[in-house]
Amino acid sequence: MLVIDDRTLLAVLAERAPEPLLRAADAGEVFTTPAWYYRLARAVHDVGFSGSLSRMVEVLDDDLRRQVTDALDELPATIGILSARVLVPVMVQLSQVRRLNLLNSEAVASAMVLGAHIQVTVAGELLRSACSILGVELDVISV
Amino acid sequence: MSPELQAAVARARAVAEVAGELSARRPGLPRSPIPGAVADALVALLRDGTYDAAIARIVEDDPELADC
Repeated sequence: MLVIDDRTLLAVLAERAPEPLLRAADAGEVFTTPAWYYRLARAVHDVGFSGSLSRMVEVLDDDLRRQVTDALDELPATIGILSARVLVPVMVQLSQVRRLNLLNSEAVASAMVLGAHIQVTVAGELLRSACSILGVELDVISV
Repeated sequence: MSPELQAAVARARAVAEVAGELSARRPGLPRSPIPGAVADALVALLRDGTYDAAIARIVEDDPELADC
């Protein structure tokens, strides 16, 4: 099982992630978190990002743009995501051990519940140290 | 790991299992295909810093979403 960040999720949804990761997603073994999913959706609607995308793909008319944003807004069934009902009690206990922001707290809690690795493109010091202390495997990859 | 955290993880795993959140058969739509040229552009925006610039704007507004 893998818990992936928003950048990796974008590559998976675009089917441009490494092949083993795409296969894992098709097998239902890839999860993300609510905060990473939310951050991706906000980035896709960011004026700077969507403007750059339109300029790069000249054929991006309104219908195609809507098709792309729908594909990125709606998490497909192949990607798992744990609910607040599952995550919050673990996040509360984590807050007694380590001060983490919402993004990192959800990631660590998800990995602990799933017995999963966290796979990210960027890992800050707080996430690294929390994973080290709690025995969660953290992989930093390029997409 | 503290006994409290260990217990919380075990309970959460049980709740997730009962709720079907661990199953590979999840509710939701199949993956919508993204046209190849658009997919290539999305990955280019990931690699050239455009996505990160969007994240920086989001995080300025909401530090709880920062990589840290």
